[in-house]
Amino acid sequence: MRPVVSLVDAGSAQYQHNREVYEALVAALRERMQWAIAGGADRARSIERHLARGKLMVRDRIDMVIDDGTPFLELSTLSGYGQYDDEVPGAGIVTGVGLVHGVPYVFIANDATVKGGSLVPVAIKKHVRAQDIAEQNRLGVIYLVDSGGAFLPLQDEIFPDKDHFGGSFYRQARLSAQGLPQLSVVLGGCTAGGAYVPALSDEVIMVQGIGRIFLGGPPIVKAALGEIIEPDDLGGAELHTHVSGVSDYMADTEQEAYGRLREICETTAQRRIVDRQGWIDWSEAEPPRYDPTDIYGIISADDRIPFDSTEIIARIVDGSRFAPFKPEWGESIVTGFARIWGHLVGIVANNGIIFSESALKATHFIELCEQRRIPLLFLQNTSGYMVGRDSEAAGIAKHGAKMVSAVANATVPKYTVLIGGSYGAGNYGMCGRGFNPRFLFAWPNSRIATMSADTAQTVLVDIRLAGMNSEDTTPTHVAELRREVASQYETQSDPYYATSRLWDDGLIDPVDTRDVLGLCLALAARQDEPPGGPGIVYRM
Amino acid sequence: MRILVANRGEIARRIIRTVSAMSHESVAIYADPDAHAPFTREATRAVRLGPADLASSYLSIDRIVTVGLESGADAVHPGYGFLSENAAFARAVIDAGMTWIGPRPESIDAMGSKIEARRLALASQVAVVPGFDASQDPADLARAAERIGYPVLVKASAGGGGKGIRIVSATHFFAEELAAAMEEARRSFGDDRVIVERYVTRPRHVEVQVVGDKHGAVFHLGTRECSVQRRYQKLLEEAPAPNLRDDSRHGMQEAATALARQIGYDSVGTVEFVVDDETGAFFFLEMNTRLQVEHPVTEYVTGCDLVELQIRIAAGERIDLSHVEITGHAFEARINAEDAWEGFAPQVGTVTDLVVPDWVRWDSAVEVASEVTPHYDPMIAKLIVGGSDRESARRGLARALDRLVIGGLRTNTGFHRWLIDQAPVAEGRVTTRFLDETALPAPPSEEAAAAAAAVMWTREAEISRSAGVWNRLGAFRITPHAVTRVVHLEGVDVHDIVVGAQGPAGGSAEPAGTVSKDDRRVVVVEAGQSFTFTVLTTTQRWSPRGRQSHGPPGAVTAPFPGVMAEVRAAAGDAVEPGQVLAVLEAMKMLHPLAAQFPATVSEVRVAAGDNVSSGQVLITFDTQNGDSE
Repeated sequence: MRPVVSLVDAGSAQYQHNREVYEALVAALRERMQWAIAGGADRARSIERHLARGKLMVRDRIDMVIDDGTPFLELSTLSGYGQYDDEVPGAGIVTGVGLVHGVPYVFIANDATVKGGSLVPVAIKKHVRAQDIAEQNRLGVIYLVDSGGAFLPLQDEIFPDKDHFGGSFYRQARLSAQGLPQLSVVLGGCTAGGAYVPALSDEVIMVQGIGRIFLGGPPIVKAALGEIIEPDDLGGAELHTHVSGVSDYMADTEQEAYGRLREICETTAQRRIVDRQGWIDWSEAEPPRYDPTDIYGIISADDRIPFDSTEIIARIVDGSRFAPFKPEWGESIVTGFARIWGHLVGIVANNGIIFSESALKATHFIELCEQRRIPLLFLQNTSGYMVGRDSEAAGIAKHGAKMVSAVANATVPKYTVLIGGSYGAGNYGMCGRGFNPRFLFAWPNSRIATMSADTAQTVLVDIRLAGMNSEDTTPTHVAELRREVASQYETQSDPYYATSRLWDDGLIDPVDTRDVLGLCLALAARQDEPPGGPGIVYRM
Repeated sequence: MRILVANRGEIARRIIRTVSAMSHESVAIYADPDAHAPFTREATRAVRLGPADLASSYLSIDRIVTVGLESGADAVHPGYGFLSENAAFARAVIDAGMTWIGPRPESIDAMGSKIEARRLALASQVAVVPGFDASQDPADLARAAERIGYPVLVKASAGGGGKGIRIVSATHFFAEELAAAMEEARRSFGDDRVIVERYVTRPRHVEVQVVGDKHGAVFHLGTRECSVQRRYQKLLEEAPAPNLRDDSRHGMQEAATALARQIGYDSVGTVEFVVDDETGAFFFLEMNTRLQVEHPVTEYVTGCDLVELQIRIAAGERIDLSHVEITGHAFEARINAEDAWEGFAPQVGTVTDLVVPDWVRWDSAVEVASEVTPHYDPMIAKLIVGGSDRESARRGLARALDRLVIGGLRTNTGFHRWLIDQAPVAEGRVTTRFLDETALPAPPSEEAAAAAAAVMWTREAEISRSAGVWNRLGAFRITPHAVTRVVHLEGVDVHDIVVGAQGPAGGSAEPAGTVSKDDRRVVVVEAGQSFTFTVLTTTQRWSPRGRQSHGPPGAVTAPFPGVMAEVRAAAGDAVEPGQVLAVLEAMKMLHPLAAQFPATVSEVRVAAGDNVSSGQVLITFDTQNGDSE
């Protein structure tokens, strides 16, 4: 693999302008993440109360459990952003992947400083998503439970449906059955449904004084039975560890509980992160030759001006080395091989519109990676498949479908990063959320929608006008309609709107992309070879 | 030539170094505790003497001479201490046909006797501390005091340990103080005889290095100051002695050479004086007929190798040191395995880490993995730092003490670091009373050291040798929050240090230290003191205690129903964990009920033969002593 020859001119006015604009985007991302960590209405008071009880902040808890000086890959930090009156930073739950004794685990940790850790609909979605990540990547799950249970005002969005609260218990039980350890530390209330998180765990530790488990808390007991009982007598660590057996261990302090948890993790018989399996092509990593912060200057501040994905690839992959596949055909999709933190990957990256040739090339390349058992990385930067008479006549629909089909059926690990636009069926062909990539991250400049706001205002306004009387279609009215549609599309295609709803696994600073993908690829490397295996590679 | 080095530790290594440099062979001798000591490896060959006890090892003249003969040694170097000033040893070596690297036995004898040394000094016109012991008549003693001049010291002839010593400042106190001193002497030693002596108000210990050859030539190599002493043990020495009046310096140098010439001294030796810092007057104390511990400071300022001189003189060479000039200044700090902050208590243990700055001379008995045993002197090394002038040498020593890392074993480096910044030391006006009159400060802060160690550990912990992104990225986060790193350090106490993005407060900037990742050990230098910490894992730090005892803490309860087969505890008993307090019989099995923690029994609520039910409280403890938490 040869290093990419970069054509980026860091001295150009365009680069400098792009960079300034992007640095503001990154600053905003950091600021909003800070909001998730410690911001939000009345959060300061709630944090103060939490700390006053001798309890630790949720991220500090995770930091104390994982191996010292190792990464924690936090997911969907900005879930809930802009929803629920901005009162539920991070959806009140932190998920991610970290190492314990060198073994990666998924962490699902409630944040009791956010509405007492009670679960809003997006929190359930995040909980379930973390469990799905555990299943797909074969990871045990550590639950740091400190939750008031379902957020009852929104119970209809939490309780009954397939992937609601019930789905989380269904997954927990089945993950355990698959040999993936389910371990709980009870650090606060686990009421009603919440009680099943520890109860369904393989091993449970309760912290005395703060951890409580009951199906019905004191208010319900009083209402139902007229009994007045102290919470610790009803479901404290002492009761559950010595009498009921709901808990296996009691700890005096959170720290002691984490010590016990780490002790438990010594015996879980899981593959370590360094246990790379034979089907994985891995070699020592090499940093990119080009400075990753160049990405800020490469991405156009004006999203109508395209940028070259190869330049992005050069700043993400080892040694900036990239072996392009079929580089002189179907050029609006860049395909080729590279290494990320030593892991060989096949990269499919857009340069704008997907034409028939691009779709066919991508399909060919995906089949190649599937044949060779090479994980796939999709870098989405597309306005979608080409429209128009010529394109339709050339069969763009069937060619696009080939690509969608190849992506859907590829069994090798797939990863997706939204580095620009993710519009229309391009989102599907490029392994959007619906295609189950192992992880999907987005950059703060990305946009995701069926079509761009510009296109939408033309298309939707025309459709609406077609159904109206001519007297209603005054120019002011038309302008008003255009503004409305554009505004809706702009709002909904905003990456924060997307990440808030868990359409991705988190917004990341482009500079972190290589590291984040490296962490994800390493998780798959310890797994058995995916089923499927060599198939036909069609020359399209 | 093959030279047997009749010593151990740093001085054996130092002698072997010169012996090797002169292309001679060395024979080391060792007692069992030193079997793996560096000096045994560095010698051409090493011969075991015997077990640890000195009489059958380093002090056994017969054994050493036999080893010398058996190993074919041509000469014996005695080092310092042990048999270095033992004329019988020197004679035995000579009688066995080997060369004694030291002065003639007669010189050793002469200077070994205080009375003879004093007589010889007087004969060479060298002043001794004026004193009187010719009569015990109070009137004679009073007249002697007048003649010597106040203040005077009245001290027991049989004295020692400061008993029977009185300082008399003027005539009219003399009679009373004399009576008191005599009474104290009689009570302490059963002998009321006293000596009246000049009391030196501000005494300094200054010594002159002399060198004589077998052809009558005698030279001096300038002065050394050794006033920093604790209980007559020198701790910090320097060359040349600072702030001496020219006439004192020259006077002492001349007196020393005169004395050496008078006794026909034919080796390297040291003449010690007490100097009154107020008047510049100096008085002969004694002469050491051997190499001195602090010889390196003289080597630094003269460029001479004193061991080489000893060997060449012993071989009969003519020596000419007339061209030697004193240039620059040097300090030597004696590094002792002792805890200065705990009454200089001796320390034993294994040196786990050793980092010595590269701009110093380090004469050391130890290296990494050396064990310091209680058998010998606590001095494990000498740190020698020189400079173009006294202040630069002093600063160099300070810097060296800040960078010197000694792990696994507490030494007095922190004490030295404090010492050299004290005004009298900094100014070069220390008296031998300085340490007795000065209270030690609070020890260097272990908290600050722990904080620095935690930062060092977290930094080091992130550097992974394992391949792969998860091991190489350190504490990577996509979020901007300060990563909490709790480092559990077990040193004297367990410290849990939270290292945030800014690091813990209070740590010094970039302190010296080492991190041994595999051993989970951090040594960090705080105010010159090395602190050794073990980094506990979370599991170790928070290893949960067993909780076998049911029921309320502070009580033994019946785990199941049964009959009390036996009750052993009684109210008021102090019990230890594991001690069986009662035996419960159930299902024809005997179940001992043991204490879970140390406690005092407060009440025994059952007797043998009682039927008890599950959970019934049988024995309670005094909760203050028996608090299970």
